[in-house]
Amino acid sequence: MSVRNIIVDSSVVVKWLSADNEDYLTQADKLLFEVEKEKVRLYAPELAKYEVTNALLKGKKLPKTVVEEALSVLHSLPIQYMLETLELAQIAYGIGKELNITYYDASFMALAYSLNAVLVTDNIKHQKQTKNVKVVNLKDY
Amino acid sequence: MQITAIIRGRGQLTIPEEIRKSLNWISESVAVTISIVSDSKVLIEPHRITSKVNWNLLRSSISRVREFTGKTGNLAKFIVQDREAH
Repeated sequence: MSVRNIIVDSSVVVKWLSADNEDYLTQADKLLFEVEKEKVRLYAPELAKYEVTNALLKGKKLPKTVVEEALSVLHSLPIQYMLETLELAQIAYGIGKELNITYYDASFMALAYSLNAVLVTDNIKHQKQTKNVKVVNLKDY
Repeated sequence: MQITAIIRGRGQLTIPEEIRKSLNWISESVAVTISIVSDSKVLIEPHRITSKVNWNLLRSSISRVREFTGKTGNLAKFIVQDREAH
């Protein structure tokens, strides 16, 4: 059986670090289980690390005494973080223009396009399905 | 098997078809790990992220970290709003 490539949006990655008022934790855990069983591979742009860490800093305002373990989990998750290339930047810019979404939202879609992968997101309002990028709502995973 | 190939602009190297056919893991969209072995040797291997994961430890760490108390709120929504705010 072939292994499916999945891009996880930062709105999904945070589910593995915080349960506070978060929806669809079961679906997020299912994703990790499928990685363990080598059914899927997870990818995200390097940007995800910055967004998630900023959410811990400014959103959750985790005290310094516990943040070390949260960061350790973030950096040990089985996600392949991909650096941006000129090609990815051009694709993301085009998607951002076409869908009138932020470059941040589009960069995850561009990676999905580039790796012929599915984007799983809890931000379905902005990351819409297009002809070239398959987007799945975490709720439906 | 040994084949000579040319590195093109921006460091791009096409893995020759003969090699791709001999190794079924070299296909489109497969992530690889590239390591420098010596001054004149580079190693390309299929990326195997799952083999490095201690799953029991990861699961228990996730459970513990999820319980950390900070400011209450939905971080997924925070990220969505944060993107729009820039």
